[in-house]
Amino acid sequence: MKLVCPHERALIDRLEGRTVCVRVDAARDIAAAAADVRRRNTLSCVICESVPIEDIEIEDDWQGVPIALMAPSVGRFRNVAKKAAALRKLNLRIYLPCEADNLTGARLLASLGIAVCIDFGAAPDWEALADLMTYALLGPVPHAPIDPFQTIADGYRQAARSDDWGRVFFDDPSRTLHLDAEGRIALSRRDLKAGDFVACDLSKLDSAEVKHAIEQRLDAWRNLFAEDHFCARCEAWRICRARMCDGKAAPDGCDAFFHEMAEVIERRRGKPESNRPAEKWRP
Amino acid sequence: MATLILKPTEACNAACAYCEVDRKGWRTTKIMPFDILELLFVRINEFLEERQSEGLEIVWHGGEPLLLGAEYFEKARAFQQKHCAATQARIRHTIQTNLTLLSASHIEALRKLGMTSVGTSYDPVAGVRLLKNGEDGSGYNRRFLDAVALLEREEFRWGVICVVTKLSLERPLDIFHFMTNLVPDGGVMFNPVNVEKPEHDTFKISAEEFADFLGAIFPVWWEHRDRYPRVEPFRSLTGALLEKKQNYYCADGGNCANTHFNLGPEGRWSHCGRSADWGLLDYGSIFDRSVSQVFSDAARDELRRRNEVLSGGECRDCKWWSVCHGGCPLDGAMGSGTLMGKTDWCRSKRDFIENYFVPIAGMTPNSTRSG
Amino acid sequence: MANILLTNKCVRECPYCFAGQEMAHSPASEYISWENIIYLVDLLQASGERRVSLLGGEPTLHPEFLDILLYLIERGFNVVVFTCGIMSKTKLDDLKEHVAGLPVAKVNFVCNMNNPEQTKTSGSETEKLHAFLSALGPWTMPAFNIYRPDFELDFIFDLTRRYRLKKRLRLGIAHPIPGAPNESIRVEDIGPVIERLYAYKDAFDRLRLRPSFDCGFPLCRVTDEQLGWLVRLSGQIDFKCKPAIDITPDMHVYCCFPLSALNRKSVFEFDSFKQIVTYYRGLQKRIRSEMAGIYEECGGCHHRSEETCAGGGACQLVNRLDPAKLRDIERAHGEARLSS
Repeated sequence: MKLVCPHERALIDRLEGRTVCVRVDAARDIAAAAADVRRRNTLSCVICESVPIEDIEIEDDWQGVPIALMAPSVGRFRNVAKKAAALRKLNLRIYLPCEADNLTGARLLASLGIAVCIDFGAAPDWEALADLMTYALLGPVPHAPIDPFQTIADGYRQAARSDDWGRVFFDDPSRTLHLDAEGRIALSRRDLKAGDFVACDLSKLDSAEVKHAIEQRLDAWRNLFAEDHFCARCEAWRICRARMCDGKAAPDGCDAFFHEMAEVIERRRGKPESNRPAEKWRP
Repeated sequence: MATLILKPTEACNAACAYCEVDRKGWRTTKIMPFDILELLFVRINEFLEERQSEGLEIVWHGGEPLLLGAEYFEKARAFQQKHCAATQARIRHTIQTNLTLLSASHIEALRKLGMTSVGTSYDPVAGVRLLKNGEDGSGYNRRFLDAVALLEREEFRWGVICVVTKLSLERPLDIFHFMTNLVPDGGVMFNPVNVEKPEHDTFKISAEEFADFLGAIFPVWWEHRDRYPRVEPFRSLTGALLEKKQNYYCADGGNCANTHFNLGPEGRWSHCGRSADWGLLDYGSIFDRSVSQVFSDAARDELRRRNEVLSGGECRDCKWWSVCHGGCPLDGAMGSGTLMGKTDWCRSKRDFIENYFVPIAGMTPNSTRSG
Repeated sequence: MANILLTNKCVRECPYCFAGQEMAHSPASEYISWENIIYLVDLLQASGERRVSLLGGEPTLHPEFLDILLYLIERGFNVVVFTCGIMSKTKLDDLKEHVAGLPVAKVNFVCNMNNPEQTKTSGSETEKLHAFLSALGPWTMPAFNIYRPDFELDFIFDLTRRYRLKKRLRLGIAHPIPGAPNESIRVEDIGPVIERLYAYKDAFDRLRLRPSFDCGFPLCRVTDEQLGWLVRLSGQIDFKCKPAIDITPDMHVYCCFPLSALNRKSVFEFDSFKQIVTYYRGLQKRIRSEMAGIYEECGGCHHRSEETCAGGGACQLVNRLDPAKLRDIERAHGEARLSS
């Protein structure tokens, strides 16, 4: 189980022997945060709120640190070009919000061997995403993984239930729990921000109540079937797992997109995996 | 392999709207006492000792078998170990249950009997699946879904029968996707509802309607048949008609005379679950007759003769004989008054195959001739 | 090598322009998208290509020209940019800043220059060209299109010397564009054109400026003495005519500019770049099977049959073919199956 927590040394030291994803607000804190975690815990990654990639200052001591960089945009390629080689050398995944320029930027970065992930948001442009998804999964030459498409494709099962792909966004309570500075425990970042905690103390981390809360969350998707929700009846459910649904509605067009994605994934079977370059860290 | 439908009780906690089995009241229905249960395993051992190459599948059925409690299954296991020590390796247990009473202790007991999967039934149509305790349909659904969650956590597989009623006809693809989304890797079988009583006319469907229901789903399944779990009747028909794989359910194989028998809670042998429900083909008491004697009953010769009669008679010119064999003999008896009659449901099979399966699966006219 | 047209827009109106017909029929505001650039780069890389040319119109007009150039280099390609060198100061400064650190082998600006005395040229165009050459001379190769028999080259030598340009001069013969009026050299004038070129021999030798021929020069119009000088100075000289493979901003592909209307297809119809090349080689073969070359004697010429010389440009043959025959060729080739 990985724990996502803020860069608070006292909190991190209390987590002795755990696997930790530490959050920092600025890139200059990446190395220090990694070092603090590694003193007594295993570092899974550093999650860093970032400036646009074109403005980022890459430090030497980022080498060997798995980094999830949450960037608002890529920026002009002429400014990214000088950093491309350095970015490739890092164990890095760049997270970008789903906007037109970012979809292009994601494709550019991936084509240069830099792993990226697109956060769909509430109302994505499905057509543009479908284009990027097709490139991500059927592109003819090796490129870095583009998530969440890669994670969805890896977890897709024919004649069986596909894996939930929330883990790529650190949103899978079977793998990741979220802590605030006081050590209160939440099942996701959204819950943490909303103050929706399953336990108020770090000592409850391995307790039966937390375990039960995790189980309930992992089974929450079954509520859609209990309610005969339209997502439960959708042919795309087996791949989207209703991740786009907020419990009431899903954004228009999600069914067509995920249906197409299932077709692309099935078409992709049989393509040599050697098309993909060596794997970087996965959430 | 011989198949025993074991009905230790006919009581049921559910009140499915279309159910026509009368003997399901809680207080009046019998539960198989332990002396009969124990005698059953004595009889089973006799049978397997006589037939050294034979295996036996025991299908726990009902009513609702989980009403018996986990202890009942533990008891069955103890009897099996006591009386079938040398033959129990050839005994396989399965269960058909509505799952709404499932608990961890049930699962443990079932696991000890060697089960790794369960069969169930479910219909995602409002107002059909109900419980006797007064809870509305959402209560049934909630219990069912909690139960399958428990099964999956305990690494049990499960397959489901979806009963198609009049209420299902408007939304075939909705139901198809719902069921295939829900069942992880087991099977989904679509069966038509079987109702005769006038009060159930709102659920009744015709053979043609059932064929069209399947036909609405089939193109989607066919295009992506590797994607979906085993969906029946599509998978077995594909196997039989295109891949020459002979793997039939009891109603289609024309062979149940040689394989099936049933034991009710009072120790009466009969042919199968339906025959017990409908009072047909009684083979006597477990106290008086062994399993071998049940298989030698003269009534079975009639059943065996049925294949000959039908294939030479009303089914003579049918291209689909090999995947139907005139259907369930009991269906035939209910419809025509005689075991020698074919089932009325054969029309749904024929219509489905000719109107949907053949054109969509791309069978050529020559290849439609099945043996 | 593929030629990617970044845009159909241009800053000049050269009287001999090969791309004039193409630009006349395309939306003026068309710029190639990043998605299509990446698609094409993947297509080329998958076929083992490592060189690409950027064309237009004027490719530097693309708003993200510099970014595209840097991207191609980052993808491991050597890039040739066909440009007139006329651009804004801001753009030039950007270009200079980013190209300055690049090895000269990675990017090659082929700067097509017009003689300001013979071709209408404004003062500001000349000024901008000089600014370009001053900034990027070491990465630049001069190019000149011969469209009038009385052409003069002295300005080329002057610019090459002054701005330390690459010592290779790309020479093209302006061919007639089928169906479009452009100034061009008649086939009977090709001999005198080569004679006139040879007259500049001393200037070439002094500067060690090596001429290279673009497609369509016929071997028979070059004397042994002229050929000897060319080979000594430049190494191997080509008398071939091969498909250029031009790809438009909206992802159409054709054999070359002069043949842009013939069997024009979408790039997406092909599975590989090799397939595209094979397809258009096949088209040229069909054309040449109808007419051996631009001269009568091409039919019996052993250089033609041994493929040392192509017999002039395919575009010149197309102008001489019966329109009905040309339509037959186009239809037959259009029905041909694509093969790798």
